[in-house]
Amino acid sequence: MNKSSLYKGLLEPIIIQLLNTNGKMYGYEITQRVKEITAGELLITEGALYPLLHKLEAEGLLEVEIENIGNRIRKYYLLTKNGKKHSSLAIDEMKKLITTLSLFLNPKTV
Amino acid sequence: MTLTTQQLQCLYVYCSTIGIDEFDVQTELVDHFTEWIEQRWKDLPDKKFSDIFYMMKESFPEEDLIMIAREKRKAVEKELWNLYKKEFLSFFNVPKISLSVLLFLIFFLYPWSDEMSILTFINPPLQLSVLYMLLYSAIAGKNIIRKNTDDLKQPLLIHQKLSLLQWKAIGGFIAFFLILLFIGFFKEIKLRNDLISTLLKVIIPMYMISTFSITHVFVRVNTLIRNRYPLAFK
Repeated sequence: MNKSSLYKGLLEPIIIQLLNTNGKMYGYEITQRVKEITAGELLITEGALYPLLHKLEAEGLLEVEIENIGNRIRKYYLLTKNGKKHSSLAIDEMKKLITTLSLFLNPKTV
Repeated sequence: MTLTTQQLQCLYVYCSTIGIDEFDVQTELVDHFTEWIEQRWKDLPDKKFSDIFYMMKESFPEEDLIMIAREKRKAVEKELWNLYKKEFLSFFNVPKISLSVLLFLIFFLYPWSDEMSILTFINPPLQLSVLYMLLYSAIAGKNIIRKNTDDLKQPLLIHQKLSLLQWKAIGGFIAFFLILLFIGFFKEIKLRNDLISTLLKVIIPMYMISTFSITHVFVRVNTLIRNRYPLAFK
């Protein structure tokens, strides 16, 4: 099992949390922000990011704002009301997962 | 260094050549590529655009990009379905539910003559439905459906799917209309035929309600698309 497959299931809460903190973000910005926060440990590929953003948009968790940036168009993603509700659930789930995993990885300290 | 309009155009053309034709998907990818190229150009200012463009093509495998478009198509189908569901449910407010129930009651409780031919029974409601569909499409469609088609600068994925669905729905309504008319031309079939008359008393009001609601939903969805992707239209 490689690192990317380990992170795969965590991508959704990571993106939701990022949008919750930063408001609106665009695709490239998300990849760079994740890279920066994790000091290059986690690299999100476009092939993983955009399908997930589109899926969340279709589910009504994200909405889109379109802006003209110089001579090109940029698509920003932001959480909908429903997405904001979902974000707290997703983060709680991620925290629980980390606690559960730490029981296996570091049994003495828990 | 900022990319020129011509260089951006080059990125759009690249998307088309690998089979991504939809404006919304292209736009998002072009913005992503542009950011990437501009970043590399800062680090390698001596390189030409063509060199950086080549590096970009190496960094973003075609299969990944095609997969993004494929997944987007699936997501759009889901989104469209959700939009339809939402708009369809919002169409049925209390007065419209009452009218629908009334329509069913009229068909079931009215003392239709047993000797009435099927054609006489089905003709007025079918004509009314088609007339409504044509009038509504002509009035609302002139404003939004045709405008969306005429003003679309580039094909939008959601717009393509919507057009396809519209044609399928219109085709379905017309086919159903023709089938009913065909049945109606068998003059010997009278309303006293229990099975057929019961079926028709359910099918005809359902056909009418579907025509009214789906025509409305198509117009609403077209309006939502227009509001959502204003830059895709002239």
